[in-house]
Amino acid sequence: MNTSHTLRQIQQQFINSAYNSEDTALYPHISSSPVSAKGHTDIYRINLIAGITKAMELTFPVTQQLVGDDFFRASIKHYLSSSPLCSTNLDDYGSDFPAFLSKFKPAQNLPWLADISQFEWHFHCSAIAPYSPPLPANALSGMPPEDFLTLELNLHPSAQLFYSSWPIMSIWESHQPNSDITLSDINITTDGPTHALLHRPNIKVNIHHLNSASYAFLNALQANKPLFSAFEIACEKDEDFDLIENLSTQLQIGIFSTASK
Amino acid sequence: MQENIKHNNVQTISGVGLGLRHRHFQEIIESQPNIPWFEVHTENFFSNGSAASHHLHRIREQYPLSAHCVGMSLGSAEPPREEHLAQVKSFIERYQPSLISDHLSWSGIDNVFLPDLLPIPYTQEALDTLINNINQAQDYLSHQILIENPSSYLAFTASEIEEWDFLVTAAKRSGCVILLDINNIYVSAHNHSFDALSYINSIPTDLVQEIHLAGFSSRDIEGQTILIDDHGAPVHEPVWALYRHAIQRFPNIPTLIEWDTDVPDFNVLIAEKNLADTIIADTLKNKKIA
Repeated sequence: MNTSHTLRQIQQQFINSAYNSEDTALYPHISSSPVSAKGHTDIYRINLIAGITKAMELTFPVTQQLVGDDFFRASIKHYLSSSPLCSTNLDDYGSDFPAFLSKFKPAQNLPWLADISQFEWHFHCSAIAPYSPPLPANALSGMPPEDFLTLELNLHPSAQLFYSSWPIMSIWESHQPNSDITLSDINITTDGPTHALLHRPNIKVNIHHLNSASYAFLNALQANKPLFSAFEIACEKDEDFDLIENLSTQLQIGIFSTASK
Repeated sequence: MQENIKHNNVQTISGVGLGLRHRHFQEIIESQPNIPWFEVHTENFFSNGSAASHHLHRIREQYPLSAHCVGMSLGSAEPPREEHLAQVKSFIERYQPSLISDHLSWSGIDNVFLPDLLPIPYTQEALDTLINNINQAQDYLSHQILIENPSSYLAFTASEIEEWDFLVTAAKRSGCVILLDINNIYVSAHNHSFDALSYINSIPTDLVQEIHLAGFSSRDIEGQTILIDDHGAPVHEPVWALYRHAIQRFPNIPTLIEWDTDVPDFNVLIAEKNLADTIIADTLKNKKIA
C-alpha cells in the first residue's frame, strides 16, 4: 500500500485499469472488502463496456443488426482499447469506428461493413448538427447571370455527402422498419456505387440519392469552390449537367445555409 | 468567489417530478400530464439542432426543468474543461432550468474518460480540489449548483474522511447545495457497510435542495451481494423507508423519480410518483398529529 499517491496518480491508475483488465496498478489502493480489488474494479469495467455499447447502438443500429449483438459487442471491446473516450459527451464518440471496422480482421468477410457504419456516422452527425435556417428557396431569384457564377454557396451545417463503391443506401434501407426491400433483393457486387446527401433542414434527417455529377458539384461547393468551378467539376462527370435544374432542386430541399458573392 | 452567483429560485420547482426520457417525449407533448417538473440529463441536449432539443423546447414551454449534469467531472485532479462548461452554460441560456446539478464524482483525467460517475478517494487533497472545481463551475455558469452524493462499488485505502463529512464540507466551503439521492445512500451503505440513517442525519437541513429516488439491482460477486445503482426498477421498500425519514428531516424539498435502464411505459413512472405523493402526505400528516 502506498498512501503517498496523489489524486492525479490514483485517477490515472483507475482509468488505465478500467480500459485494460491486465493493468493492476490500482489494486493496492482500493479496499478488498467485501470482494477483491479485481471484483470491485470489474464492476467499472463492465459499466464501461455497457455504457459505450448503449451509445454505439444508437449511432450504429444497422451495423449492429448486420453483425449481431455478440459480434458488435466484441468489436466495441477491441475498438475501445485503441480509441478511449476523449470527452464526456458520448455524441462525440465513434467517428473512427468505421476506419477501425475496415481493418478489423473478423469483419473482413463483409467488405462493405465499414461503409455502412460510415453512412450511419454521417447520419448521426447530420442529426446532431446545430440548428440553422436553410437558405430560402427564392434566395437567388432575380440574380443577374454574371453574379451567379462567382457566387459561393455554403452547405447547411447538417449536410453530409457520402460516397461508397457498394450499394450502401439500399443495404441501409433494407434494415429500416417497414422497409419494402430485403437484403436478399440487393446484388451487393453490382448494385453500387452509392452517392448520397444527408441533411436536416428542420427536425428529421433527409436522405437523397445523387448522381455522380450532382455529388461532384456539391462536394466542390462543400470545399468552398465558387459556383462556376463547381459547375465545371460537375461537367467533367456529365457534360449535360443542368446547373439550373440542380440548383433549383437543391434550394427547394434546403441544403444551403448562406450565399455570398 | 461567489459574488456573481445568481441564486436559484427553488420556489419554481416543488413536489414530485420525473426524469424525462426520450421514449416519453411524444406522449408528454401530446397529453400534457399533470407533473410539476421534469429533470433532464444536460449532456443529452448539447446539440441545439437535434430532434431531442426541439422536443425539449416544446416540453419546457409547459413545465419547469432541472438540469442534471453527468459530465462536469468536478472530482478530477484538474479544473473542469471550459468546452464542457460552455455547453452547460449554453443549455442554461436556452432552457432556463430552475436547478443545475452534478455529482460528487469524476469521469476522467488527462483527456481520457469513462462514461461513468467514478468514486473519489476521500482525502484532504481531493476535498480541496473538488471545492476549487465547484467554485470554478459556479463562477463560470453564474449559478449555484447542487452536488449529488454518489453510489459506489469500491473504496480507496487512502480515504481519511467519511463521505457525508466530505460532501457537507465541500458544500459549506464552496457555497453549493446538496442533491440527496436516497437510493445512492442505501446502495453505498450496503456496499461499504455504513449506516444509512446516520448518513441522512449528518446532513444539515438547510443544505438539501433536491431529493432523488430510483431503483437498484443486485449482483453476486465472489459470493457477496453488491448493489448496483442501475435506475432500472421501481424504488425498493427499504429506500421508501429511508425516504419517509428524509422528508421529515428535509420537508418541502422537491423529489425526483429516476428511471434510466429498461425505461418502462410512462404510466409506470406516474405510479411511482403517485406513491411518493402518498408517502409525503401520510408522513407529514402523521408528523402534525405527533
